[in-house]
Amino acid sequence: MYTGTRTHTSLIARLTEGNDESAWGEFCTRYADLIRGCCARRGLQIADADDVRQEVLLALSKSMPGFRYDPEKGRFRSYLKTIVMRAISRRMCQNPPGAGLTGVSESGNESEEHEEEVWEDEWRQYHFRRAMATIEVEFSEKDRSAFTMYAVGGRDAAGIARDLSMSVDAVYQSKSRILKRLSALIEAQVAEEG
Amino acid sequence: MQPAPPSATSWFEDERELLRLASRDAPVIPSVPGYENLQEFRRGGQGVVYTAEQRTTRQTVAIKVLLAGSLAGPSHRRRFEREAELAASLRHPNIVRVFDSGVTPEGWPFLVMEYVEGRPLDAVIAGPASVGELDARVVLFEKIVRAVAYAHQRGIIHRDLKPGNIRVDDTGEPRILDFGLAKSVFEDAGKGVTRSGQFVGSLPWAAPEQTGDEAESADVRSDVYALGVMLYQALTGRMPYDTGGSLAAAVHSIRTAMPAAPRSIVPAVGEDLSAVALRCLAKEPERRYQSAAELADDLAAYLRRAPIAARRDSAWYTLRVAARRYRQAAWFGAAFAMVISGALLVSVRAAREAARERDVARDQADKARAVSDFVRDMLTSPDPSKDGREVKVVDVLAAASIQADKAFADRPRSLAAVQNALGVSYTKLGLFEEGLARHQAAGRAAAHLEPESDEWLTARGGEATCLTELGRGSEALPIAETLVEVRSRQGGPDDPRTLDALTILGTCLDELGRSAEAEPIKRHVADSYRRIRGTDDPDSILSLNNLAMNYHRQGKIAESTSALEEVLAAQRRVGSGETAESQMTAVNLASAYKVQGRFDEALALLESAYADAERIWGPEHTQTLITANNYADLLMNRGELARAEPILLHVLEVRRRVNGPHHERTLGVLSNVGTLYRNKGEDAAAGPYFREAAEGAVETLGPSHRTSLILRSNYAGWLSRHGEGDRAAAEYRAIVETAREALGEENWMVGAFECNLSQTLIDLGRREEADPIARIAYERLLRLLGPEHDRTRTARTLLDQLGTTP
Repeated sequence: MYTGTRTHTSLIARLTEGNDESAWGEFCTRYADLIRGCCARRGLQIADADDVRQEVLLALSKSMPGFRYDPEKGRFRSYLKTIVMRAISRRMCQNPPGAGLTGVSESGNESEEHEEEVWEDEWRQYHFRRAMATIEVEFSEKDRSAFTMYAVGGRDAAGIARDLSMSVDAVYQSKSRILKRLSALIEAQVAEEG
Repeated sequence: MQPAPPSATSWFEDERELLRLASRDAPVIPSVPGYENLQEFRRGGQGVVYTAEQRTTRQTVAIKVLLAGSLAGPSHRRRFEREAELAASLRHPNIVRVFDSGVTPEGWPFLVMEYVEGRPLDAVIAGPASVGELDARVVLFEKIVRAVAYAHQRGIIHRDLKPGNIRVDDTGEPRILDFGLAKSVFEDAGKGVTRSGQFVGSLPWAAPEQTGDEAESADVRSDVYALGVMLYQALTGRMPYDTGGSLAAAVHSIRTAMPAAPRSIVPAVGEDLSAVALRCLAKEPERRYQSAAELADDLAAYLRRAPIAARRDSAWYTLRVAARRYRQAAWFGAAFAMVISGALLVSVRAAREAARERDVARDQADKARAVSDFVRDMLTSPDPSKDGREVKVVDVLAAASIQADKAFADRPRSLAAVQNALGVSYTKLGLFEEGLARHQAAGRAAAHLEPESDEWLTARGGEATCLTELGRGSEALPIAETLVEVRSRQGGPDDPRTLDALTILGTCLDELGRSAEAEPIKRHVADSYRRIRGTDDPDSILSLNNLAMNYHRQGKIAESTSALEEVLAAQRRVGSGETAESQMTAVNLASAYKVQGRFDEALALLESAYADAERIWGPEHTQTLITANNYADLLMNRGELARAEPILLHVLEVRRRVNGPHHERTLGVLSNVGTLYRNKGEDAAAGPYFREAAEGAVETLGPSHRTSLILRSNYAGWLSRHGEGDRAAAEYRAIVETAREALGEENWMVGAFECNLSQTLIDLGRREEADPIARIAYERLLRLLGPEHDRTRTARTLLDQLGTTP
């Protein structure tokens, strides 16, 4: 079973049909990090984040059977964002964050902007991770190590080439090939998600 | 950093934005307690490998930190810990050692492993083998395969063998990484996504059965398949089939494509080697080698230019390891592996003997085959997915016990071997009643064999061990004595089996309170092992530990402490940290410290030992209970009653249920509960506990047993506090007299009892009687424990009260 090959569209279809428990499991796994990331960025504790995740999933399970999937409108993404952010806000009201931690008070407006930013960033991160999962499949461990060490870790290519017993050229190539592929994968994911 | 603003080009076309996301996803360098200078070394699907230095030894190690989220939830984490422990139990020159594991302060699970310099296997075997290289590559391979076989026989499968997981060090020795860790990391964590994401990274080496929904069914033969892919690479310089295309195409190839014969690619490979590789790569597990050992044998046969067996009948055994179900069953698997490999050795040796031995040889070979089939059946059924619950080891053992009699009705040697293996498994689990029954059944089966057969003697030894553990030392003693007599006649005084028998006898004598007789026996065993095998051998360590316990029982504290410190140091040296063995030593050493009044050292040892025990054995194992009892006892001693109470009551409940109401260990706990209530100021409530303990001890152990004396003394103390001074004094006097006789004059406990007697007499106003006893006690304790010891001071207080301070 390769969930990586299962499209987002078919997952949404299975969700909207209802009564498909495995679809829920998959959905949870897929979006857990996204929701958790948003919660953390908004200052919620882990336990609260878990509650938010449950609340979001519960809300989705109630509304999904009637949800009409329409890739043209980008509806799913904004829909998900709305309920995630609403759940987080509710939690934050119940449990004011940062009491005694930061002491920084935010005006309503700043908070709105911040929320938008957090969502955008976490959503990108989510797509990046999903694309990386495919990269794990498609590229050798060596290529991925080279990519991480060189492009992310900022080490010198010659040292990496020596450690991984590959040529310096191959290190450069790993970086450009993986970046190119990431870009294409995310483009497809975003287009499909709607 | 802010997300890049939307622009004409989308964010995912922006290289800098992608790199920003990538670095955010990469964990920062974690902190691992006890290690420093972490440097990223390798990054894989499961996590990041760092090199680091162990702070205390300056040794370079490799630390694998699993990526956040790869172990979702506490149950996965526990499983990871258990598996890490199993992996740490593997000791093989071609398997990379796992030293330590845990969770970083950031919450990431980590493993500390041996750091191996060298190259990955694929760098070593790149390109087709030239005629000159061929044998060298097969030699290298045989080593790899033997190492895998070693792990299989201990119930551990790899599931992710690939060239990247095998390094070849500077001396040309292969070293396998990540053994025993595949399951918890690859599976379940977040279900499908992680599983497929992780797993597919190694797709070219995955067996057909690992590529489908039934990935659960992977067993030792999946490892054989992976070894086959690597062998194919080593021989031909290429993969058996094209796995470079799309995922679906790769899976399709693995499931259906027939690889070209290696000799058709590299003629020098020849027909035999070609057949070996192809047999590993059979699509159906049943058509492969059924074990890594079998594959190794064929590689060895090839190197000797002997005929290979690649086409012979399916295996003498299939140790099919359903690791998910039997993970806790390390002992179970290990016990059977012992039987199997033992039986195989015997059968090979026997087969070489002349025709007069042929019947025995056939019998032995039959045993090997029959036992292995039985093991396979027991380990593969019942299927937990069918009966809907997690099958426990004890359930499997119980089912095996019932079926063994039927399965081997006409084969006594096999039956005895299986029953002994079951007995050992039960004993290791602390289930001595069941262990006893299995060893007795083994003994009955062995009665049909030649007299004094190894099976019979093993059964008797197991029986004596269980009886001793059950507090039935007087029944165990004659068995142990016979065993020693036969074993020394067969193998001489220094033979490991004789030493084993002597250990059983010594333990039995100790349990019977005859420690002075046990001492020379235990000293002989300890000396023999150290002489023959050196200080760090497991048996040397164990026997020195046994000797230390004997000293302790005899009240020879100085001897006991120094022996235990030596043992603990050796165990930590060998195990690189806390293991089951070092945990037990720590508990014992804590007792020794406690007796010497070194309470802080004792408390620190016990606190961590209790946590270690729960981690290692679970909450109801006898060792956990002993640790808990000692810990609670010491907490009480230090006035921490609130911390001690729940621990003690838990121990008492389990002891009564598991060991019975009058077992020595239950009695000790009863008495401790009494002491707890007394210290809490609820002394009246303590009476029944003290009384039950004392009476139970006299009944089960006899009045002069060391434990009986202590428990009787505790009850007498309670009597004297509750207006029954005369009864108490009479009881104390009896205790002192018995103790002088049973424990000897050179035992500090005698002095302690004398103090109690003297104090009771003083309280009753019988000062003339009290005076000489107090003097004797003071002199004794001064001599044995020194002037600063609490007990010596207590004795001095008596003399102060009597106005006769020396």
